Amino acid sequence: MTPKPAPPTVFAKPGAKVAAAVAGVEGAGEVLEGLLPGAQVDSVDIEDISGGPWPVPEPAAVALLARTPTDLRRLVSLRAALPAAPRIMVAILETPSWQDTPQVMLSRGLGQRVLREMRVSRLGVSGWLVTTRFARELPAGDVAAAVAKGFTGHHLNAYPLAAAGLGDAALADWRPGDPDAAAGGEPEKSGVPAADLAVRLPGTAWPDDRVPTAARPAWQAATWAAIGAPGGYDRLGSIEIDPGHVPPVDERSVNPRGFLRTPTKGVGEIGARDGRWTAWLEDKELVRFPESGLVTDADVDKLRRLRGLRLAWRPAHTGPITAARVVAGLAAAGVPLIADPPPGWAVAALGEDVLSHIATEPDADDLRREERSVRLRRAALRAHGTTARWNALTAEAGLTPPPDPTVSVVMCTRRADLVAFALDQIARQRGVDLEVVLGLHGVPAGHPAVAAAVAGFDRPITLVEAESWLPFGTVLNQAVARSTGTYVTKWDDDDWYGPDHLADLVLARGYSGADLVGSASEFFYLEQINVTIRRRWTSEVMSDHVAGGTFLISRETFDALGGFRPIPRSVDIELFQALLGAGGCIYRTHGLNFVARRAARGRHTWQEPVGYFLHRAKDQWRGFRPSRLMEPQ
Amino acid sequence: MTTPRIRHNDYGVLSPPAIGAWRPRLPVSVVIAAYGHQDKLDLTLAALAGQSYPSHLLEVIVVDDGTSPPLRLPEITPERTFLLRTEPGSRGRSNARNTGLRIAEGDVVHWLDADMVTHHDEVEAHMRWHHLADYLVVMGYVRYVESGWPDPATVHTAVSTGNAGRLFDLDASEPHRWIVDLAARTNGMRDAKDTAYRVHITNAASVNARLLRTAGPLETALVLGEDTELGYRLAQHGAAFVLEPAARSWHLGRSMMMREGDQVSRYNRVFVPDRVAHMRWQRTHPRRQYLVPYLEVVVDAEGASYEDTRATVDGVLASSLHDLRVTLVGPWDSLTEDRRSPQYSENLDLLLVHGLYRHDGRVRHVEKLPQSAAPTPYRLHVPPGWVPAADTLKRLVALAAEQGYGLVSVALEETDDVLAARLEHTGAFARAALVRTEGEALEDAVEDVAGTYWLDGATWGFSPATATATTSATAAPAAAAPSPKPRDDTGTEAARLGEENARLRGRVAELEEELRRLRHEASRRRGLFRTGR
Repeated sequence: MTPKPAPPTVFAKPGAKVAAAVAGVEGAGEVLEGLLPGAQVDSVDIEDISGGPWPVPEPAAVALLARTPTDLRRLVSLRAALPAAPRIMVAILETPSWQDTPQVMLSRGLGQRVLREMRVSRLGVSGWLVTTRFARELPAGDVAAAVAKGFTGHHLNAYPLAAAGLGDAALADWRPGDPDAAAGGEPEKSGVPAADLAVRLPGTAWPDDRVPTAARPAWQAATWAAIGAPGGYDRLGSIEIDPGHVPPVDERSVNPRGFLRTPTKGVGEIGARDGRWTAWLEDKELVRFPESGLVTDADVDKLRRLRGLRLAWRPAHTGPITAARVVAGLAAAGVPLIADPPPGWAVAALGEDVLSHIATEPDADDLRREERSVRLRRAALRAHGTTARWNALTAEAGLTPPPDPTVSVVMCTRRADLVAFALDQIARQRGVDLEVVLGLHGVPAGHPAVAAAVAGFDRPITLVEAESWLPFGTVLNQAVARSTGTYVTKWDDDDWYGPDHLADLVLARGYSGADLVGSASEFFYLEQINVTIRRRWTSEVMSDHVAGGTFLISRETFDALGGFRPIPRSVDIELFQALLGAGGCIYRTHGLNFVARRAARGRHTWQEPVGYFLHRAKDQWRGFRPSRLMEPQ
Repeated sequence: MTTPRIRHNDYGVLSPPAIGAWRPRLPVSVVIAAYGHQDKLDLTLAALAGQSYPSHLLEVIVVDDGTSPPLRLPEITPERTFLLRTEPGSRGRSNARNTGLRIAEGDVVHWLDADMVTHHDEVEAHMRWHHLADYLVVMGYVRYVESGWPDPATVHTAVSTGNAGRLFDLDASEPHRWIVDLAARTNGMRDAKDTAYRVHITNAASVNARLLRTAGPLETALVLGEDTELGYRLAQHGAAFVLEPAARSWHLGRSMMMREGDQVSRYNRVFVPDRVAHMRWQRTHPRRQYLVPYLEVVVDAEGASYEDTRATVDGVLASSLHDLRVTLVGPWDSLTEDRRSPQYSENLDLLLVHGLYRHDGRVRHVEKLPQSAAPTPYRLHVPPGWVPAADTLKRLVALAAEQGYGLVSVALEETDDVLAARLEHTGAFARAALVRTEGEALEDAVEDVAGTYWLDGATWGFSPATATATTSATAAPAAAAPSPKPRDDTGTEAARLGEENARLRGRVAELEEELRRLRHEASRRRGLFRTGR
């Protein structure tokens, strides 16, 4: 008998009981009716999900409705509270323009094994509808997590942070996108605490006194309306305003990805209108942020074309925490912000560092704008990202935060006279724990220029001597073999690097989840004609290549790919292709930390004539003109 | 003191002191050409005698251009006032002014008409700018009054007391409408770029004397529009043009332009654009030539093969930008031709180049290239053997003019050094030479005063002669012509081998390109082979 595929099934028959959970959607009832005609839908908003049993027992299907991927990630954190069913639908109404098609990637041998049917289709202009059918009922949160994972470059829905407990669904935003977050505080059956560290509502108790907790109010408690209500002023005294009380920015969905270095529109405005933060350009409303102050990836995407957003601190009718939350989200995404000097509550909630990168006037020059954006997003991600917030909570609770990853800088050179130059560039890297593995390609370690440079370098350094006749790829592999870091990064001996080069790569890896992260190869110094050019690469995108002298990859992934090919040149391109072929991804972050030196042909491996670079240059300047992020000495 | 660097014509980098609040040190010569109208001259001199500018720094030179009876110096004049007369046979306004210029001792020459009543601070207002930079032209604001002149004593008293403004009815006077409008359009000439020269008008302009002597004097062949033409030449020597509304004067009577504007313009349109290459709107004919071309293309023929030089020059002469001239540099004067077997002459290639172009009206041969291309506004150096496409030069100059670049370099090919064609803006290079500091590269100063830019030669239509030889329309007739000599002698054999060599070089380049393409393709396919195994 010829096997036949089963015909597509109706997701929910008329009259079927469907349990729905909704995140961020206004008018969800109508949307659900359209998606599930005739079904008996019982929907609960994420704000109202309780720790107890779901109001609809044994539903035929579960529908998860999220306005954006960021909203879906809020549902993921409530995985343990969501119901189970054999049919699960995930509907996302808006996604950013750069978003890939979603997929469902459950655990092998478990969820993935019982998946019988899966359909992905476009929903509206930029939304997606994912419907699944399983051989038996499955927790809907597992499917939410599987879809959310596919929206990032991360292979695992995991944070290298303390295991989190959430005392209430209203606190879901404190640990976005983490399916491992524990709802409620009862210990597990084995007696093991459900979490290492928990966030609870003020005035509530945590049932497990072994777990350190931090009290954080739901956003509703800190609005000016709540403060202005009878008895509100008493509450005002209890509201703490500092970065640690602002819900974190979900850095894996709200981040610099999709930044446009050449804005096509003017300066928009953002301020509180009818109790909601709203962004508009001239008369057109661009984004109306939810009352909670949550910034989502799809909303950021609508602001990318603006040269900047002029922010009005007053009147901030939404309350200080939600206002700070909006600003922190936009800042982490690198949306250029313009504002008058901030009021006291803004300084208290956002921190001086973030505010110092908010301009008083819009940057008319695109490069200046981008430089400011990079500084702003760095500061915001480091002060307000999920990782930063939980590491701070961990430290506050007296626990030891997980160690930072270490970076091995691998540099191979044939030119002893450049070693000092290159080590100087590495020595001024900040914000990373690094070691250097210096591959000396036909250069003896005892060469006076090498010895002097190495003696003057005050970080860990390992020297690897390699015969001159060995191909470059082999020498690199020998050097990597001697490295001990979590990440390996390749360094060119004659190029210039900004002091935050490595820290920015680690940051980009954190928010993009890509297997390999590198800079856009934008700036070139054409030494023969004393001209600096900037090429037209897009940055903050998933891509198929980055600048060869800038990429960072985990040692584990590097080894899995078999390292560099043992060939004399093009080793980078070969590695990129191998990675992409293996299903990995490459993220290209901004190119402002790097200037490639193009010297006369005799001294380098360039195959393209100087005109090749001139033709592709978007900008050119006479002399050595790196971005200001390079902080040229 | 380092000289301030005005970029294009944006003199906003200069901050002149307030009038009356500074100490002048530079002497100025006011040069007045006069013909008739003793009464108006008397008023002009009476007003100059009342200037706030120190009298020991002020001299006035009046040149009588043949008035009968001769003009005389009146009672009220500045302390140091001189009267000259032009000779019969060398008369005319330009000549008279040049005569005055010859004896002027000031660091600044202030042209003034003989029918102007200056305000008390008119000279000071000019001079406060000239103390800031030594390459300026400053133009004052003139108002024209119809009739009813006061007497010299009244004028002198009014001016000396700072009351020149009350001598005439301001509302009844007319401004120099053209300048006022131009100022409004160009942010007071600061955005005027290459058209700023037009404010050099000799009724009320002042010029740095050294700059004036380098660029000048006035062109006596021009009867009208001579001041505009000199302004243009001053610009080619690096001048920047400042408009100074505080340098006020009354003009007694209306100007010729006001009275007979249409006729004057009709006349000027013939004689001035021939010498002023920036008047592109007057030079719209596709093929015409002019006394001063828009572009000079320099080809250094020494050491180059005849074929290379010819390919370059022919390419340039076939350009859609026709308003150009080619300057061939080489030791032309010392070339000697063997009268019996000229084909074996020493320097045969140069002889051939010389012979090929000697009767072409757009080609000239020079032994040594003058440092400046002035009065030609652009100069392009093209290495022999590189051929621009038909529209390359037009696009190149248009880019430079639009962006105001002082230097556009076009990368052609490279070994360790980059071989480039260079388009130079004459005025920018002149100003760069004036402001550069000791040891500073001229191009760095050009970057400051006008900007520099690099282009890719291949993209902009430059190709090597070897690549164009078989396709270029201009080279085709020569290539098709039968060889007059059999190929058994070594000279032509060498030439033939040279050509063959060049052809093969081109072929190698083609094959290298092909190889690169194939390698690239192969690298993209490799993944497929792997999965296929």
